Amino acid sequence: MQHADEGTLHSYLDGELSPAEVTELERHMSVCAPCRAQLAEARSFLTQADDLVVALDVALPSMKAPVTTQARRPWQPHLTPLAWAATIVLAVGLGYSLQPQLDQTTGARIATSPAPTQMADAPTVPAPTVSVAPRTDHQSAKVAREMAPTMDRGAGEAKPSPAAELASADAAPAARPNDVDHLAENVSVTGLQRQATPPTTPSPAAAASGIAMVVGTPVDTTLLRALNFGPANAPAPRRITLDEAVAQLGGSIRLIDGLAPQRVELLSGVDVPGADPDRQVIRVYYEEPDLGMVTLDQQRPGPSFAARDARADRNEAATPQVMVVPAAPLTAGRMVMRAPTPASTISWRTDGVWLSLTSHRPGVRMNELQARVK
Amino acid sequence: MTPQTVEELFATYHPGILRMLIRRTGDPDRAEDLAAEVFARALAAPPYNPRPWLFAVALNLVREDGRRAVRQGRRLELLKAESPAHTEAPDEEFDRNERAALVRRALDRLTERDREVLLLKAEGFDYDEIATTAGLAKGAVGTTLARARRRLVEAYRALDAEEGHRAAR
Repeated sequence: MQHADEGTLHSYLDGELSPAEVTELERHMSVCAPCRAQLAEARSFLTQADDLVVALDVALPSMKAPVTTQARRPWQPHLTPLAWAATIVLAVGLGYSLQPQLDQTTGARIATSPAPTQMADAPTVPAPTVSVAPRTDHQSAKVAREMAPTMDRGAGEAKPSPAAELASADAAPAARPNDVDHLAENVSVTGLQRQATPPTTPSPAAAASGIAMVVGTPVDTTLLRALNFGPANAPAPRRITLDEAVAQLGGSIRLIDGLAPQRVELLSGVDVPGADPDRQVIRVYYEEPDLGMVTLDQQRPGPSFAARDARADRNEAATPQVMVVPAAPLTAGRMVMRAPTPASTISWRTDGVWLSLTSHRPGVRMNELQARVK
Repeated sequence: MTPQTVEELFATYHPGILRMLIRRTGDPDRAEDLAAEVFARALAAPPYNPRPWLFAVALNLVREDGRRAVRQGRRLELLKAESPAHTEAPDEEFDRNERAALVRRALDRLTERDREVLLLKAEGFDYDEIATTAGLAKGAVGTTLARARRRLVEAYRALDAEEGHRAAR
């Protein structure tokens, strides 16, 4: 055999040669030092080139792409620390649950949830724990699953990814995975119905004010989202116009002064840490070169949630809470956009509206940004 | 199993198409627009052999879009964004981004064909699929890939050395 050319060596390294060709090449290689050196060089170019191509992925300015088309729930990272907090809250909540007092809001959810009997007491946790009810339920669901290992866990098993597990855990107050979709719908529908009759009805003037909607891709994102997300375990976030957001919130919507909103989404409160899980949340997305991705969540919480929050405010001198949580590393299935960076969130309330500002880039001055929310 | 419906096509191939387009263009917004256009075309004329078809359409769109962008002077903006920023205290992310910008400039020095085979290979294409997608003879894929890899590495080394000199001065 003649000396191997560069193309053949790369074909060999890429596993593209036939078994006969491989045998012949390897036989030649065993007696030809120059070809062995060539192969080593080819291998070096191959691995370096592969590394360089992958290095292209980190030059991206933000996590915008996976948020719009890849990540099912970009706010997932917030859930893990809250789950820990929920463990504590569960313990406290069980103590409270000995009292006969039952919250109307969660009661309504139980009525629509075909929960197994051993789970029945979990969602009846009274007002003090309502805000983290889904996380509490998540814990209870785990306990219940452990207690009943023979229970049908079809839906939970079918999607073993942590994301899917988190999703189903959020949506299901009861440990019956087959009911997850059903329950998720109920939660969402309940939220919508409540939102339909808010204390202050949306003014027709506001709804008709005709705020322009910022349009991103020239395709129907609802369709794309539905395609991308597959069967939903929880109501998927829905893109809405600013007008719809105003109507949904029952009053004027808050925006960050001086920044242009990229898009607005309607989410289930279950998905937003710190929000009233029984009501929907408006999320406004911003994308700025110097700030990266910033989201502004807002919601008019229900009465029970408001009561809990008022108590918390008295205890904590009404200082806004800033929490820093590590963003989840993007897994192999998704694009590796950039290294995980901490996200910081600041939450507060004004005029009966709960607001939460999140930045995904370290070093953003949250307080300054908060001051610009108008 | 090959995906049948456009929904399946989207779920299966959109992440890869988008990743390749971002690598190719360095512009996530533009890449998203182009990826959306790819699937809009797939919807209009469902492909028989989807993977090569979708990626070939994506690469064609990049070429068309690139020509248009040059006419519109849009590249100026891209070049500006790519030029390495003034030397601040280098943190890890800055280093990574600088490296990526350098790789992008190295990639730009390759021929269109070399770039395409590299990016397709990085998406896990075998030589048959690369040949179909890039319109090459199968026998030419190994040689093209070998050349493309070597040129990318050499271009990167050269640029890296240039940058080193500039920083030293």
